Amino acid sequence: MLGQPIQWSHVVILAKTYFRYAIRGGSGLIFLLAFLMVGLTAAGFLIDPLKGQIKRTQEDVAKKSNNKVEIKDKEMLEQVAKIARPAVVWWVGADESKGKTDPLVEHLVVERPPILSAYLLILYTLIPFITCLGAFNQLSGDIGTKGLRYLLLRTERINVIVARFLGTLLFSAAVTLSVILIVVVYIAISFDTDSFAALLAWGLRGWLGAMLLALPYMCMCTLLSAMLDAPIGTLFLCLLATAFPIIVIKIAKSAAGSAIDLAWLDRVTPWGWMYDLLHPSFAKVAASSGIMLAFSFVFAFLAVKWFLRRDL
Amino acid sequence: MHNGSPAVSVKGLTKVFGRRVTALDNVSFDVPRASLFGLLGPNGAGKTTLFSVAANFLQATAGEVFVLGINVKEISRLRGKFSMLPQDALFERNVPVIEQMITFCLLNGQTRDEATQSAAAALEIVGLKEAMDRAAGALSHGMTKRLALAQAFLGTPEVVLLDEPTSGLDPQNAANIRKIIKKMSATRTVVISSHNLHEIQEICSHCAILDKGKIVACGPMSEILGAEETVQITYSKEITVELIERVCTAKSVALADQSAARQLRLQIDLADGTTRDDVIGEVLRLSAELGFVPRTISEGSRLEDRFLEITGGTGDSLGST
Repeated sequence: MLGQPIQWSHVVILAKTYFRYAIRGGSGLIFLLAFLMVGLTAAGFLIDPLKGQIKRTQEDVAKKSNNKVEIKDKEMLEQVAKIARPAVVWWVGADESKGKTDPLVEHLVVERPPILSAYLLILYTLIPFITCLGAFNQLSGDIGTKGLRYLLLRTERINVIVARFLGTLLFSAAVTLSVILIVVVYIAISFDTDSFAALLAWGLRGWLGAMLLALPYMCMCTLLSAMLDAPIGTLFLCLLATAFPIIVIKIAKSAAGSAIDLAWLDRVTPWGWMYDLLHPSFAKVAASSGIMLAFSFVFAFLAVKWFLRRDL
Repeated sequence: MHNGSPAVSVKGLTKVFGRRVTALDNVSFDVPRASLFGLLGPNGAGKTTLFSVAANFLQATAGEVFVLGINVKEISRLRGKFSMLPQDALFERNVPVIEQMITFCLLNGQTRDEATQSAAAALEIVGLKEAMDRAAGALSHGMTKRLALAQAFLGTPEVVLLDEPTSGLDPQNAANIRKIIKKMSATRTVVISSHNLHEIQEICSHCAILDKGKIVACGPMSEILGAEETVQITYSKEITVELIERVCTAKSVALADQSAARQLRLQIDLADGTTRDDVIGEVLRLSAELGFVPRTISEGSRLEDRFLEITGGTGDSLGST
């Protein structure tokens, strides 16, 4: 289908080198710092106000009972869920009016560690944009400097593009996992609501979802990176291609108001499927994962086709 | 594979950029095995494009290039046998030199140990052993050229293309690189494009001249220079019309003209029973009668003269494309 068989021994050599020196390259370092900064700042913005709110609640209860009372475990969990629920409902766009409960919200706030759920929602919103920072320069920089030519004398183009993609995926997965684990530990230390095991399990599930969500955007970056020679231009186009459909859909929905139901528009991009990755229903998770993989396949296919044919 | 088959065979190669710019126009020629082959041409002639298509960096609009009988579209079949020094390709700036070389060796099919040894040996040959742990971005222009040369000769390639290996270098670095090329080309087929026509004339056994995307001359260097028909004599003083007229009276001298202030060029058309030595002896005798003392005698034209003659240029446009 692609015209060239993949030599996995070459892919491994190239991907290892790319992964190993990702941080030393400018874009890898930018991605790492940006992810750490954004990921941890988001955690701070979420966790610090919650800690303050719980402290105030403790003081209120103590005042009322004239005793120093500490809320623990179940009570604290209820407090957190109470605070987090409206935010989560708003964030995922759920409808809980007239006493209805949304199964996704219920799952995120009640069945799973609510603070970590709220964090994952924020992270998922940022993932497409952060992914662009890590994936925009898979090929374009080396096409521009003609550095790829040294590799092309020794291996087929298909091996280069597959290796660069896998190297980027591995690096991105490692950084995302690190940030989520740091936040899991931070939440475990800050709150006495959920067991560490529960947090860790939900964190790993959230990481898997984050990687599935990142995949189509990464493949889109691979395509643009294979098409263009200038890394900065590629970054700009990657961010534009990520943000533009989201903004257009929001504006369209807002303009249509309640007159026309444009909820389906959300499902046109991977962005519209991201919260389903955390859904309690296996069918919804499978469907959203399938959509992510389908988008990824289309972008990756186009990227490979383009890269194999273009002048380098 | 037949040993007499060419090392590189270019067949009907055409490359059009966009819709209008024809960089190569139906180019065909063969590079004999174990030859040092010079590729010359003015700026925009298509030399670098030709090299880039030959290395499969650029897709040909039409035609094919075979290296050792293998179509370069199947570049991995040439792994370890074919290499190139691209003119303006940069190395990974942040990756140590030795690591990049090891990666190239690994892709050539060597084991990690073999790759480490080969990489270190190649860097030592080009005098970069001390710099092997430095990032490529920290190397000077001359060192980077030497690094590029080292990667081109990594392992045991049978065919090596060198695109302007000495361009932009100071005379000392250029001389070093020429020395390395001479040494490394002893057992391989090397195709070299260069600004330095004197250098090409000195070291190359064969040559092709590319002009406006077409091959305008190709063959053994002696044939290109017309060594069989042309003799150049440099005298201790400026050539006069009287000398030219006198020399033209010699048997078998078809034409005599002034190729430089003190240089006389003779076109020889040997008559029956006459040898080149007879003609040259006669010309020297006639010159001596007029008080002209020879300083040097060379067979064939200078490559620069032939180049300008063939391309119709002024010499200002010598360069790479």
